[in-house]
Amino acid sequence: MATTEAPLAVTAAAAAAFNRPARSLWADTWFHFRRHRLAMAGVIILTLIVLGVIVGPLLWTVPIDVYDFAERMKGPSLAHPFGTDDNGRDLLARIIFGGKISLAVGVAAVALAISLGTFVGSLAGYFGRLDNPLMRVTDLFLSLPVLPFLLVITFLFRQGIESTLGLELGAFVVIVTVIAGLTWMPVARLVRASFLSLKQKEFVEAARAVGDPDMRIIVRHILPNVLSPVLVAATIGVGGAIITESTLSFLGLGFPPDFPTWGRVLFEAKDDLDLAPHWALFPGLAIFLTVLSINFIGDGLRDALDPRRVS
Amino acid sequence: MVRRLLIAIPTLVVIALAIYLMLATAPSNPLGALANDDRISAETRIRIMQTYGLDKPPVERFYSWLTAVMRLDFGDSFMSHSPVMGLILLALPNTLAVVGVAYIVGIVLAIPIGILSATKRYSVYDMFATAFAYTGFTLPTFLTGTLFLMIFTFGLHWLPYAYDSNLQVRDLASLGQQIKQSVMPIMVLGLFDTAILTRYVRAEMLEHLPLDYVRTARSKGLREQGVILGHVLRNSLIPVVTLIALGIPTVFGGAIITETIFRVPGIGQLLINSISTGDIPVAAALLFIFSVLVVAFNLVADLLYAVLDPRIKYA
Repeated sequence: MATTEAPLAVTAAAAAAFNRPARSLWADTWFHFRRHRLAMAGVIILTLIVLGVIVGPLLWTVPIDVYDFAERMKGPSLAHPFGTDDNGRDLLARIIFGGKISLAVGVAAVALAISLGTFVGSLAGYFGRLDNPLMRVTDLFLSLPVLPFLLVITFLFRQGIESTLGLELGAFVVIVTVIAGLTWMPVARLVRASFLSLKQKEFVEAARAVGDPDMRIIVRHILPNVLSPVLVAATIGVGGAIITESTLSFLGLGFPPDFPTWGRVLFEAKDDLDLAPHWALFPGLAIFLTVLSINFIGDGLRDALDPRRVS
Repeated sequence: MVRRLLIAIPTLVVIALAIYLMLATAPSNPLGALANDDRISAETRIRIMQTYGLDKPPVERFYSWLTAVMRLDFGDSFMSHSPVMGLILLALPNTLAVVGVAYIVGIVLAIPIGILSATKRYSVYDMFATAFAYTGFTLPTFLTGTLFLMIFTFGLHWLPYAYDSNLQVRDLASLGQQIKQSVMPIMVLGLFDTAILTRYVRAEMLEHLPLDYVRTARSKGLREQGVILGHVLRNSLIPVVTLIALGIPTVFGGAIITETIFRVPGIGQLLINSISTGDIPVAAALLFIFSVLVVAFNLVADLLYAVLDPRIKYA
């Protein structure tokens, strides 16, 4: 602490800070996170979006697939707050429904990618013999052009999986697996780097001295110390995964037509931008706000968890 | 230098293997569907298998795929029945032109914005630059593309909707048309590149500004401009080069989307078309070409890194 090096600089405020009751790591993180204005704005916007997606269908009970050709491509009105598409379907209902899928894909893909990345990274960082081969594999994946592979793999494998798991679940499983399979590498590198330095530390030596097996040292002693950078990477990863899923759908290669994810609605809207700009605007805004607020939260977390932070 | 090249070659061989395995294990194999069709007799089926070499053992099949790939011979397209490589060579210059010009735009804009942002940290200007950068890389390319179309084509009627690939530049008027139709695809990618590069330049400059050599340069009486441009910028750009290389796969991904939105006949659009028509030879060839491009640009970045930083030597 700086106070021991510069005793003259100890003011009343610093002394008060010094005497305050101890905070846990998470209380401390929250304390600093709360002061990050953009991050708090992100939390509020994201909460509203998540609430809207979960509670929305209860409040806005218009079905997503009712055709009404008298109401084609109408702009926002009281009956249709977000307007309608070229088949007269209500866009608000479709965006609420799509949001559920988009958010679920984002969270599931990141959960899978983080697990895979942490697994590979801890093995490579802890066991010296595995380091080189695992990192070569990681480098190889890093030099893959992600989007082309994503498109081709989804195309090649979806039919088979959709026929065994059903259309909706099949598409979900394929898209989540493929996104995770192509985005775990940065996490693996991050975890490996932390493991390399942490395994030299005294607390690991102490754990080994009392006879803890490798597995316990990895899970109970080293992994909790890697948690904060992984958490930040995961937060920002959710935004990335939502963008990736939207991109797939925007290219017409993601979810099937009956599942209006945000990207899918944009894909359907893009040929009528001159007639119905609202049709593209609302899903676009939904993607933008979600990703922006997630990135802000990630930034706030990074700052709040940074031990070198100066408050 | 030679070692770097030697790493690139096995990387590409493994990628070729990965593509081969993907195609071989995929449940939706168009040839498999053909071979399982009831209306096709057993002899025809065997003949089809023999024509495509599908009766050979997997190792032999992979070997022939690999040697064909090394000769850049990807066979014929299922759809147009012309050699795949011809289609790709026709489309590749368009992609490289859009990606290249966008990158140049990005570098030209990002360096001054980044420098100003770092030297005037927390100023109003820095806040604007930060907000711009955030918007730039939060907006995915398909959103910026759609937005630009709404504004510049349908709103203001300034720029044409679709890219006319038959346009040939002969005189000033057609040159003007060519520029007009290239503006939006380049802007979409350029905005993304600028946003990311600005953050990199700013972050690296901030790392270097408080270092001792900067103080030395100042104390020996160098003008501030000389300190920033001659010392801090030069050192800050070295890591930026690596970060640029890491971003290259994303940039090519962005190119795919941009080409689809604006109908630029590049390899991205070719990929999307080949996937939606089930043209496997073209899709497989493009996967490999995209990988070659990414590996090649990574190699260039590595070599550039050694040129910029004399402390780094690739033996």
